[in-house]
Amino acid sequence: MSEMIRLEQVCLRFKTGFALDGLSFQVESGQVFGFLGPSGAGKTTTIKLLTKQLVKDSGQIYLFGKPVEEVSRDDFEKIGVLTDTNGLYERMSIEENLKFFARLRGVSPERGTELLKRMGLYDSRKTPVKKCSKGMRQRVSLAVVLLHSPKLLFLDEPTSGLDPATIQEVHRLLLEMKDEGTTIFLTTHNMEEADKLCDCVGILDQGKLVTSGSPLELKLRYAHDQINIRTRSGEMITVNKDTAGAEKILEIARAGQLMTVHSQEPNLEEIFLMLTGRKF
Amino acid sequence: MNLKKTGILYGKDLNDFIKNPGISVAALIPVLFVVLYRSIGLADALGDYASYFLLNIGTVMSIAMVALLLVSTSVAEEKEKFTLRTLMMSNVKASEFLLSKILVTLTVMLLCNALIFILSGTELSALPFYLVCCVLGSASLIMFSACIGIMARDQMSTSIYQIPIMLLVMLPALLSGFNSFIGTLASLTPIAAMMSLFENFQAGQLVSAAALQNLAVMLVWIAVPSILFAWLYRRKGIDN
Ligand SMILES: Nc1ncnc2c1ncn2[C@@H]1O[C@H](COP(=O)(O)OP(=O)(O)O)[C@@H](O)[C@H]1O
Ligand SMILES: [Mg+2]
Repeated sequence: MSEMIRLEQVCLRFKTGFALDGLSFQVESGQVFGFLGPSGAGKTTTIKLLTKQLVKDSGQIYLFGKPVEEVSRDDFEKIGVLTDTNGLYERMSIEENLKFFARLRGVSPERGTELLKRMGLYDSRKTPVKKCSKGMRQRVSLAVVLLHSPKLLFLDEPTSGLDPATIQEVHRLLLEMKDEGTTIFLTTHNMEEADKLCDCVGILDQGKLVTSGSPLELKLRYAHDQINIRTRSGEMITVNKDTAGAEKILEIARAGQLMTVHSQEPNLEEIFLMLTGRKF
Repeated sequence: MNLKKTGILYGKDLNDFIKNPGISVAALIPVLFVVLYRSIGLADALGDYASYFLLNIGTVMSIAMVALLLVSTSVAEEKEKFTLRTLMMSNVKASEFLLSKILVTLTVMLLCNALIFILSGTELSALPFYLVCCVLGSASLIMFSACIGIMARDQMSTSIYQIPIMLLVMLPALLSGFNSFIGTLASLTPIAAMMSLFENFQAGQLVSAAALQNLAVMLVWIAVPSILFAWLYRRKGIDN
């Protein structure tokens, strides 16, 4: 696996204060990296730095192993970016939008048609964008971003504000992209989404990385050292993960009373609360 | 700069111009005005003066509507609807984005002005030189329009920035009756210089001090917004 993205001690200050404060992390090729954090944490700012929409104050940013300043226009052809505000041409139909962006990207119009089918938009392809729902627009935007089959995909809250059915659809698509080897950097404030899609997550708070690792790693790292047992009589018993606890479980099992055993793993939300002392 | 991408953007922008009645009707108003003037017989009352009058007023109106408004209005819309962001993220350069809009403006303006010229009844052999004058006279306004496109955040602030430049276009018509000082001032505006250069041509005085002065006035006017544009662009970029 080669490295796709690396940040080293990146800082960026706005007039209002630090947006990013010594941010470091890296993303390997083929990974789905989830950037998690509450609103205002600096997720969008990070994507803007990585896609040259903003310039850092200090630190180093590498893309495809090159300093971001040296990333060329040709390198940029390998990238797809879905910003938090991707606009479409309202007076044009879904299909016309896709055909236009396909021409800009130098791919065949059939590629646009293929994506429309995959997004479930083919039947409504003649609809003017101004008559489309938010979920439809987001799917069209995603199709536009995928037209040139990017190797590296930046998605800024791709499912925020969408209905559950569309969210499922988008998730299925992203997993397909991952299977095709695309590296995906996505931001979200939805912990379940990160859990489901990501090989690795970084939790961001106030411009700093609080923790990172695979969702499972994090859960184990921050797991409570306790096990919950339910007995046949419906009683709930909590024991520690030590010899005494194991003996207690054994004792209940011998008495034929053991119903369920659960180790308590925190979800990502609880980990965030544990690390920052604040609710997500 | 990638000319293929510029060409694709040009196709989209021209199509959008046609599909957007708010802008395309505005561009046709000066042409319709000349048609109306001729059809209700008002032009006949003016006699020999008619073609001169119609060409002048039609050209000034057309340049005000198209050269000044088109680039800035369409950039403002792309900012407001965030399509500019989508284009930038599709690896389009700001120079390609703006060049396409400038080319559409020139296309539409030259088409409208050629129609106005023909409808005004001016000697047809002067048409090519007239169109050259139109490009020279409107270039400064197109560049001002591009500056407004960079400065303004939305369509609302765009229309406010457009007002002072609109006055620059209208000034000669508004001040033509005044005393010599104000009259001189008016002749230093790009549109007055443009029409005056065309008159020099018609009078066979293209090689004269007056013609040279008119040309110089237009070139200075082109330089001002171009320098402003370069400065603004370096400071702010286009998508901010
Ligand atoms: N252009 C800007 N000017 C000033 N402050 C900004 C600007 N953009 C973002 N910020 C601030 O930087 C912080 C991080 O913002 P952002 O990256 O948008 O957060 P997120 O995407 O995680 O919600 C916020 O406090 C926000 O107010
Ligand atoms: Mg954001």
